Amino acid sequence: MNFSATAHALESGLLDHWEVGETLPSAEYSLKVGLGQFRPGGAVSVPIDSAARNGRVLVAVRPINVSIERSEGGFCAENITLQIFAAGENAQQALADFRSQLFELYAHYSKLTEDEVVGEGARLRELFVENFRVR
Amino acid sequence: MGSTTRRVDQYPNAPLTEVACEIRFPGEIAVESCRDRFWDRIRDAYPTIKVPQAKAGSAPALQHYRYSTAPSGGRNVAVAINSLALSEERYTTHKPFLAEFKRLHSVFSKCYPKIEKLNRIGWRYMNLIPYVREEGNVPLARFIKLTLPMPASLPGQIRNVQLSLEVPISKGLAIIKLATVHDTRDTQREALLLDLDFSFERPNMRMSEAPSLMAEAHKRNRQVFEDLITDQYRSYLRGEAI
Repeated sequence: MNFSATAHALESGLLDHWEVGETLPSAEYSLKVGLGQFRPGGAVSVPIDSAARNGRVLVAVRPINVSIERSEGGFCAENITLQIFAAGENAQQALADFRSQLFELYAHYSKLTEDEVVGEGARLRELFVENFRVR
Repeated sequence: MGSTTRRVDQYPNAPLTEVACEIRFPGEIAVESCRDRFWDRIRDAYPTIKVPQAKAGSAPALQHYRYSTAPSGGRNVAVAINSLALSEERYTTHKPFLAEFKRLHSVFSKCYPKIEKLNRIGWRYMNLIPYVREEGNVPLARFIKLTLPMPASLPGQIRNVQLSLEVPISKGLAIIKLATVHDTRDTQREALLLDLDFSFERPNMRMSEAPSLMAEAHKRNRQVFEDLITDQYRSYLRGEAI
């Protein structure tokens, strides 16, 4: 730690001479300026675990993997397993639309009984009923 | 550890972007004057040499020569008059990485037998955690358990983070750096940089102890990572997400 300037600053009253302490990290490293793991233009995966609407919160038992990617005219946010394909002018709006659709689909499927769905509908109903709770 | 913090060797969704480990020792002139002695013994695996560019205010002998497996990406061995480091961008698990460090350490020790003591030994994880802002703020609490007590006049939302902590932990030092960063090619793509460094810096560390101390530094740094992330994020890293 180098606080050598501190004493001088206190003596002179000039606090703008203060220096921050120097940390000593291990090993030089070169973090890629462009975020190495991001492919240019490629999708990034972001986990979310809830969606709120009108004071009610839909909570996921397991995290939901949302794939966010640039598309024509904006961004899309999607999860193929849940059959949610949302869009927005920017990543924040696309994710907000995703949460909104998540809430709507949960509301829809959680009202259905086993007898009312077959095939893909049955799979989605089971997925929503088993993995989400409303608080 | 309970079941929620059960550790796995490799997370399928690991946020690691680079891993590095390093030993530092009292400056040994032979490391600089006889560079070929070491490189000749590892050149088959590390055929690419990257020399440092001159930096104002930085002694050339303290800047690392890098020997790489490939012109870009892959593994790098970095050597300076007082330092030996190994780094990797496509890190998988610690076992092959530690095994390679042990091999390099053995070769290095034979090339420069006068190096008997260590000043410092450290393990570093650089993580990039992609996120999307919520109402303009960083959803930090979804990923990281690190919280600072805030006065009532400051609301809990965070617009940006630039934090560096040094935390002494029983005979070692954890340096935790947390920052919001963005992709320079696309500023909408944002991530949390979680840079974790764990080191031992104490007198009387012997060169021969480096592999075992490095294994301990890895273990301790991994524990810091596990303790810092939320259970929900860990579940995502494990590939348990829907």
